[in-house]
Amino acid sequence: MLTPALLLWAGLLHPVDEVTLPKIIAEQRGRVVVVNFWATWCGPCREEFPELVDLGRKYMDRGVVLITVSMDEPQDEEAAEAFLEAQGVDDFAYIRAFLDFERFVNAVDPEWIGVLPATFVFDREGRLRFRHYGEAGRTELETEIQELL
Amino acid sequence: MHRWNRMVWVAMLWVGCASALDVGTQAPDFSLPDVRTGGTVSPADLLEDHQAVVVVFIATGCPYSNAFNHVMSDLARKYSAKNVAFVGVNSNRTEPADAVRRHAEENDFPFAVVKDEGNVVADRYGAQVTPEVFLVAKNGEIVYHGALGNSRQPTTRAEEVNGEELGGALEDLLSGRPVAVPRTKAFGCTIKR
Repeated sequence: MLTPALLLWAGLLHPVDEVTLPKIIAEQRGRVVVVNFWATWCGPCREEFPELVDLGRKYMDRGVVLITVSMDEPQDEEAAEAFLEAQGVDDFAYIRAFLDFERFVNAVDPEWIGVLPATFVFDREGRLRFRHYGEAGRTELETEIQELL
Repeated sequence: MHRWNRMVWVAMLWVGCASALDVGTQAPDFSLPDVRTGGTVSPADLLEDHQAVVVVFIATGCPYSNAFNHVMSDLARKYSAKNVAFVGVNSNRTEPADAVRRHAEENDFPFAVVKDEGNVVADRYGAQVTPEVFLVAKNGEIVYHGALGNSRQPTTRAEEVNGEELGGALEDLLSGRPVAVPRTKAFGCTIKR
């Protein structure tokens, strides 16, 4: 039976916080996980996004999952969803709902200061192996993915 | 040039830009022209006759940095009365000096803004984000590093932003207390190198 919250939820983006995001990453154990943080107002984020989506698709069947986390505020959720839809993203799409930004950042990577875009690559055991502050760069990211597969 | 500046300069040659300078370390000096007046801006020189210097990395095209423009201005005005100088540093490769000057004029910043060609200053400080703040005490030591404000719930909405984190650090410093929260996360746009 659907709960009222699930009945109300109809969007593409799922809220994520400092507790749930590490769980979501951990649930993908056995796969290489690429987590990208972006925002609609972040030009470099939007520019690199198609490459990330393409890489995710290219390696999906080999055990790679791309998780995207929008750092937009709730007021911008519609714009974020429109962007994702235009990019063809229909799964593993989240939006910030943290109580405390610092805890959220530290839950992903204590070394991350909060710069956008930011992309993190976790190995099949769920260990953080690579981090990119700013645009990741397709070639470098693809090399890292191949190394972990 | 102060003795501490020379020492920091040498130290920074091998530190490079791996990560941001931590609280407790000496702030590197730089000497760059103010984009509006052409006058030389140097934190070490400013500390000769100021209690503290706020070095804030800013951008012309980052919505998150721009949301804080009025906060930077308000804090700079408020604390200039308490003998604190602010310096805005634009290190974005994609934002030329002329655009930086226009941005400073349009926002009527009540503080000097410099163009950091080649990201030299950003690399020395290890700055990654705009806006990102380093509060430098009279003795040249970094006593606060991080956000201007809104560190728990970052927002791009100018009407919702505040300068509480930097303001709190300034109040502590000027009251002679250790800065209670010396580090926060500085959410924002990447500095384009």
